[in-house]
Amino acid sequence: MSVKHLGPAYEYPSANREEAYGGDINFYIRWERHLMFACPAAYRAPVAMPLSEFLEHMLKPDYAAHPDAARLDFSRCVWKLDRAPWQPDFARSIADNGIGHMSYIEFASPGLDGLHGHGY
Amino acid sequence: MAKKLGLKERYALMTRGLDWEPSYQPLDKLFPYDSYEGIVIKDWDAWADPFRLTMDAYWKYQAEKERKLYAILDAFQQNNGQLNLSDARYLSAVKLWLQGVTPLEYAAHRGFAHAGRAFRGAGARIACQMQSIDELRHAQTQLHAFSHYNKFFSGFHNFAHMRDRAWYLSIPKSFFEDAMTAGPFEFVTSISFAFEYVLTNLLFMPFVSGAAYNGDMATTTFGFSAQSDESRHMTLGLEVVKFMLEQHEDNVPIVQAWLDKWFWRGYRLLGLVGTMMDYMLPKKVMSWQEAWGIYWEENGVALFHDLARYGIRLPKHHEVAAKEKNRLTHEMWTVLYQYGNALGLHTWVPNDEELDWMSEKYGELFTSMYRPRLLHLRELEQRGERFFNNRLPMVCQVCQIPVFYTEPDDPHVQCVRIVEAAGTKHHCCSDGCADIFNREPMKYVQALIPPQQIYRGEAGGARDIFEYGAWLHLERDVDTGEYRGSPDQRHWQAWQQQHKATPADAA
Repeated sequence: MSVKHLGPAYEYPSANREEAYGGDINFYIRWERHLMFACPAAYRAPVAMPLSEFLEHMLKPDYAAHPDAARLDFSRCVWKLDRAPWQPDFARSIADNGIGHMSYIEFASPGLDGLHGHGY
Repeated sequence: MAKKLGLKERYALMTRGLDWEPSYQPLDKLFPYDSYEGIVIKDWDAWADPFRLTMDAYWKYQAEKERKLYAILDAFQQNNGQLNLSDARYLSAVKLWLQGVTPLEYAAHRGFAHAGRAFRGAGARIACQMQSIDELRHAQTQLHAFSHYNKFFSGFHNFAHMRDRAWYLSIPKSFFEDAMTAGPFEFVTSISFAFEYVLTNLLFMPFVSGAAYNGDMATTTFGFSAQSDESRHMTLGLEVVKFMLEQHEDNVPIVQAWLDKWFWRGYRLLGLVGTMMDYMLPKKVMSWQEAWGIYWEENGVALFHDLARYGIRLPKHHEVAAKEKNRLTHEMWTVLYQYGNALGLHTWVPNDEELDWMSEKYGELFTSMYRPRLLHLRELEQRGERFFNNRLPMVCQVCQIPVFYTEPDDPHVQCVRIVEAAGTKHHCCSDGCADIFNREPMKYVQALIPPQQIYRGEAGGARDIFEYGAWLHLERDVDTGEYRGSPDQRHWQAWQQQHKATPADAA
């Protein structure tokens, strides 16, 4: 459906379009079964950054307060990109891994299932 | 004019009698906004005036209420009424109200002024005019009632500045701006009916009763002063919906779509109020789950059954609200708790007595799932490692609430819905919000989502949550963060000791 309106047309660009990021992108990551961090996390990063650098130096420190974070091994995780199964290549860049603007990444860490037996 | 008019005559002359037929412009040109939404009105005179008030009587009644209210506010201030609160933690509820809800009263004033200009029926115009003035009065009286606390406590000083910037205040702000940017019929359906009629008890009951339970006479008195206005507003809400439904059968699907949308948006907004009830009130009134049961599942549903004769059904996704009612506030409190570095009110882990109350009210799910989480947070705090999450969250493109809700049938997994429009992906917190997005995608792609604004450099150049807090004019660890150890708590304890130690009290 479209917006009912007065006047000629009702078309607008997205306020969060990729061009507003000066070559970087905005994307989101959820660590499954770790609800101590209540929401998927939002990032802005350059597309040329190697994925390993992003994961080790931007993502991992954010979860330092969780006891599972110290044992987190990304190579043993199970990944999804925009809801589809995905095998990232950590040495390659964010862009080369197919991560785009407003992508949504989910990963599970078998063996690290959060606290209290219910994914906290 | 006759020397003495009867009440009915006088009412007719002083309301609809003030209207006139335009002679040099067509009505459609004079009132361009009241037809483009597709609502068909065959007879504007069929509008039954719900207020039955003339302007002169209105001023008289309101002035009387003002005199009483301000006399009590004066007494409250002169007698240091703030010392009789249950606990200074209660003020987080008042801060949230001042920052989040008082600006809505003002927005309602603007919205009804606009709607009042837009309708060609004089009865509807007058109803909107009076409500517009009511809402302005509510904004003013709330500000006056709360301003006393600004002399003694943090977090009250920049509500108007924060309202346009803060992530958690974009939730109520975007709710109202969505309504105000719709046509006048959708506006009154959203605010007068869905919000004021169906859901208002869930907004005012916890806040005003909560104020009374927690010794806040200033807010309680404001609540009484607003009560008679609120009942007029509710009457208007029901009237406007019945009017549309009775005028033409083509209006039914349009109204139904609005009810679906505004039930869900109102419900999402009320999550903040539920969290206020369960967590911010040191003395509890009732749980969110109980309030939802009484005010929606009994009263609200009965109302929708009454509307069934017009072809109206229950709003979409109401069953999701039922599934979430035993976890919503517990999930939301931990969101406020962890993003507390950018919050203009304090958060804390409830004490044991409060945790027992929650176990009693919420049963097994709370005791097995949420209580251990809160105890974990308490343990971290006691070790000097109070938990904060300083990474910006994913936020729903429609309700603008961080995406923390869990799947309706699985409380272990966050519910994320991906929608796409204008060549860009967007995220929603629920099927309810995704439906709203997909119905009018061009409206919601324009939304300013706070974490995205920050990353785009549109939040004063803030690069992290602390710089963002400063941009909101929040003083770190004074206005923000943990309650325990805050200046508010230290002052409160000192004042309570002085208060108890005075000879007058000892006698």
